[in-house]
Amino acid sequence: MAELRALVGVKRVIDYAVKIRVKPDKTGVVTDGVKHSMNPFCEIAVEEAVRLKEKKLVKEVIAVSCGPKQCQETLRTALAMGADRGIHVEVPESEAERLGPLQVSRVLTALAQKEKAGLVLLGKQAIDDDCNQTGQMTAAMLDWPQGTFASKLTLEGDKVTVEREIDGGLETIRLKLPAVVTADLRLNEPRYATLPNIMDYEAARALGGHESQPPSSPVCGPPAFACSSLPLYLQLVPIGTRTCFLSSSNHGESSTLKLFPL
Amino acid sequence: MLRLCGGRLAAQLGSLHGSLQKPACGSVRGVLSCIDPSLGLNDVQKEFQKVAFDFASREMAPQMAEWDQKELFPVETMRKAAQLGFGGIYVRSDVGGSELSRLDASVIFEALATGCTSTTAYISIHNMCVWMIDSFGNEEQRHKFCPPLCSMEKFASYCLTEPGSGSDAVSLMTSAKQQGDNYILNGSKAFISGGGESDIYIVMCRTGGPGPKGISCLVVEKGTPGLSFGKKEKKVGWNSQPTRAVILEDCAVPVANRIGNEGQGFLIAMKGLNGGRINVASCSLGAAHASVVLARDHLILRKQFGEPLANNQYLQFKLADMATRLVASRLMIRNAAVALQEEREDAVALCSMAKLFATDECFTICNQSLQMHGGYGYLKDYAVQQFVRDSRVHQILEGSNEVMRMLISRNLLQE
Repeated sequence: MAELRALVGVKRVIDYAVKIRVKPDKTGVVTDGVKHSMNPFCEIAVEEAVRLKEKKLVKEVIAVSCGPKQCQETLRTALAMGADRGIHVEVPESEAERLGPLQVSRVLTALAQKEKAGLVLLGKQAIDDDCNQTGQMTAAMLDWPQGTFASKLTLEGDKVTVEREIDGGLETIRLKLPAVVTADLRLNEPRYATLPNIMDYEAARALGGHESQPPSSPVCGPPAFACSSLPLYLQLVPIGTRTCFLSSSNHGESSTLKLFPL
Repeated sequence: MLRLCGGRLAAQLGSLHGSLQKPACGSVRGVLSCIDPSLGLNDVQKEFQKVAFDFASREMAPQMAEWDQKELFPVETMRKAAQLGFGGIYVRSDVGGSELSRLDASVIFEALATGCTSTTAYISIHNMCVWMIDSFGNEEQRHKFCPPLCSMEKFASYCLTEPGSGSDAVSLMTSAKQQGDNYILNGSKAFISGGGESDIYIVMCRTGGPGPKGISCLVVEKGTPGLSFGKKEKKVGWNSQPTRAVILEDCAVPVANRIGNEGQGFLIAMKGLNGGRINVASCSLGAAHASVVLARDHLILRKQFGEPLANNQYLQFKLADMATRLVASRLMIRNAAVALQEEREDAVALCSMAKLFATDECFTICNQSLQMHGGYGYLKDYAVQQFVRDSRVHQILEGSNEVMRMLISRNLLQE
């Protein structure tokens, strides 16, 4: 499908090779100064999306990451691997700990609709929390079919055939697009970012040059988002105890907002 | 010499073996430390460095021992590296290069060298050769030779040294007499890295009278009649690259293959070597960095006299000295790289100083790391001995450290 857009979720996690240490107050693990990188299953998802684009089955690959500012490193890696655009949904450090599969799948649902994605590709689970929920929840919220633990993916017309690794062995299912697929280990071997790709991304970023601006007051409104072809920053800020709003700003244009309960 | 005691050895070897596969770029805990090589770099350089470190730990480190022991020239792995843009790092992009700076190249070679120092050193020599054609060749030569070299479809070797002229490079005797559209080459080159495997040989030869102004630079392609090779040398290290003599007997090379003008060869050679010195020093840096990380991990794991070696103040201080000299070497190299890319007038002296300091210090660091490993450090199962052997030759080639002192003292004492 020359018109198909793939939305790929990428998560910034502690690097797989790092020895994890528990914080002295036992509230979590030490993350300060520790090496982070893209979740390995997310890398596999990005690789699959880029391969589909190279086969001209997907028109555009959009990478998404939710979290504090450092998520931009992960997005940069995705762009260097071949993704076309990166969307950073910014969550302040203080709120980031409360961000789990439920919240992320709500964000992905909104973005998939906004970006008119036909395929949502995610890693099967993150190696820090091992939740294995985001893909499934996103599919439920979107009311789309899901193919999880994919070890093989074939796009044909408006259907996607997914070979899944399940407890009993391998299961092959066929889904009608739009669909959510989560990547398992044997789906592919991710490529390295190449120097030319890294430089191209940097050149594009230098041209774009934007910072997100915190809006002055929260506004309830219909879901409407400003869109651009360069990396776009969305900001998720808590108001009161539970509600948040999503603001988008680009080159200082006035922002349009949507109230977004967490 | 080694006293191996009982079954506990197997358990200890198991835990020590584990340290072989740790990521060479950081510690086991992944916490930033004072020797982190990404400190001081901008975001883009950190990206390159990450790719280079990933490539080194996944594609090179697991095979470096085999390449060394079986003396394999890892063509496929180097081609994979070229696909990432490592074949012509500071070559212009219109002929397939990555058009990055000397500092970027130093960062990349340092990272790759933690995977295999010998292979990275060859990659850096290859890069220097492509750069020479890119910088001094005419448009036809650039577009003919550079693209297949940048992709490493073809490999390049640099031929300056002869059996009779090493440090005294100017006294080279390989002659090139013009006959119609060809030069006829006669002579032999010694210690050529990649010799016999490479497709392109950048040969410095004498087209004119004695002295530097009589030297020109010619590209000789493999398969040219009259080009042959000596036996593959057996070396202490650098075993993943073949080293052979290159023999030229009435070898006819088209005049169109001359890079630059007649008499410009020595200038090209010296300019190439400035960068080559930074590159080779960067390879030493990678070896030393990997050795310090290995030493640190070993000191934490290994217990004697009831406690980890790391509790021993002598070893703590020794590790601190090693780390300090590593960072000092890194700063000298990066500073020289920036001076070279800015074409500052002190660039030649700085490159010589950086090469001298870093290759000496880094070899010592690797050697001290081996010592800290005790008997295990001497076994070929452990990477540290390969870093020692591979980095030893960096003190000798690309201009021996004695020649570096000549260049520096000349700069100081000139009127």
